[in-house]
Amino acid sequence: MSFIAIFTVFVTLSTLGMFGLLLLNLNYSLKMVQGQVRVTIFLKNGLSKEAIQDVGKRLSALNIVKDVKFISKNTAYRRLQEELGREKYILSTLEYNPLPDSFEVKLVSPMYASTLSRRVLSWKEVSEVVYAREIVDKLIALIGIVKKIGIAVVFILGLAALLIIVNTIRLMVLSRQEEIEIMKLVGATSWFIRMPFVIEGVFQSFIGAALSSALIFYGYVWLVKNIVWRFPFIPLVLDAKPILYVIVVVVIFGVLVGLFGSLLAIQRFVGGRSFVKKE
Amino acid sequence: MFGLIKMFGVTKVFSGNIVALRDIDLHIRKGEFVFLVGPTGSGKTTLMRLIYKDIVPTKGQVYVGGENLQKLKNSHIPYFRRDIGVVFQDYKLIEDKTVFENVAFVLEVIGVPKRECESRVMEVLDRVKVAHRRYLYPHQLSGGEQQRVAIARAIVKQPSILLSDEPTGNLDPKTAWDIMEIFRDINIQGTTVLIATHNKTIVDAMKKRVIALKNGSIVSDLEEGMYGF
Repeated sequence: MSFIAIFTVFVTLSTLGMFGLLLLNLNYSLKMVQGQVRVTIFLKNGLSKEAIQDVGKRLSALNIVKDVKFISKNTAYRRLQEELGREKYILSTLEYNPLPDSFEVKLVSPMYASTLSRRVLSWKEVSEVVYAREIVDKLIALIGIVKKIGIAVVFILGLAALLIIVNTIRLMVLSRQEEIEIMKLVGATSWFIRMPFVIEGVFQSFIGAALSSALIFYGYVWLVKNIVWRFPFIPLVLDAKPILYVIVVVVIFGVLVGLFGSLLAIQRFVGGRSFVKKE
Repeated sequence: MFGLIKMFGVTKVFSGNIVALRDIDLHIRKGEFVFLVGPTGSGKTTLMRLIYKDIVPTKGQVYVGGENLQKLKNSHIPYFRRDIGVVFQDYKLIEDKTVFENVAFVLEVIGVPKRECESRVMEVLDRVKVAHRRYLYPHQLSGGEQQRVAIARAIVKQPSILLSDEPTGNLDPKTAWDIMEIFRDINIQGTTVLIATHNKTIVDAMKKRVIALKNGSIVSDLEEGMYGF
């Protein structure tokens, strides 16, 4: 048993798991922000009640639209008064309410904001479409970058764990090379020789993965307890299911790395061709 | 396997253009006891290694038990080797296993049930007269005792062929004779025995078939031969 190998696998998988949790929470935060992105569709003045209702129906029928809310000009005026607060006296200088009727639309994804905008601008009832374009574009770009980084990190850490296991098992094999040669001479098959090393590799990875799972789980619980009450505005995943999912992925990943790593490490020494020396 | 060994036009050239064997034609019958003699570098070890397919010939064919070794698949080599016992000059015992474990592990490898292992191991250890040393480790044994354990390990699987490369090289004359007695008994029970040796006294006294090698070629092959090349 190599404690260094177990410890190294533990560190690698813990990092992988924590990164997984980070991605999970980032994704969760992004989804929350996404849900707050609104497109405001301003209507032309003088539309009849039926015409306005028709626009609302047409918007609701679009599959990229999640929610439609009508904001009458009066509601808009009241909102503006609340936003202005002490400065609301400015509005008293106006002879009439200049704010138009509008629809506030929530989309299934901020990616569709520009699509919706182009579409509804062609409707005769619509005068203008406004959305926080820059924020939306940056959000989409951020999601893309985070996913790419996530894949790269998983790949690199996975490769690191694999190489460590391969190296550890290879050292074990080298230290028992004479025994392996004798086993080949007396009639041991490749699988008979391989099995103890493969079991060792899988076992070490499993121990490393189990320890990292414990760290990930209890570490996250501690983090949540300490962040939620101090910084309640930070959105964190509080449901146990996704966390357990990350842990299960880490354990399965660890065991697979142990299995393939040890098979790879020993192949050169017990592959079929190794029974006959090339001299 | 039938304990038959045949070679036809076998040549072995190692990397660096080293010709170890040249055009060897050989036929060893089932149950024979054969000495392989020759100066160092004459090809004795190479010839033995070809028999258990540790290496392959550069030219020619090797047949063991009627099987052409060139056509033997890599995956079948372990099963082929289970019927050949090999005893090395340097014993090749596993240092962290006891005498008993060194012999028992061969039976484990070939899949003999555990309950049968103990009796078979004790039987061969008795035969080679090291049963009283069964709990000791190789470094705790004398050279002669280690050689006996190596023989026990080779014969515990009841092979058809027993190969031994310089089995008495490191031993005193009395111990060397004791070892040869063991080989003779094994041969009497039907195992084909092939021994590479420099021990002139033993070869001359035993009056068995002697194949002499020199510079990779067979220079003489005599029934009841004497040591000489």
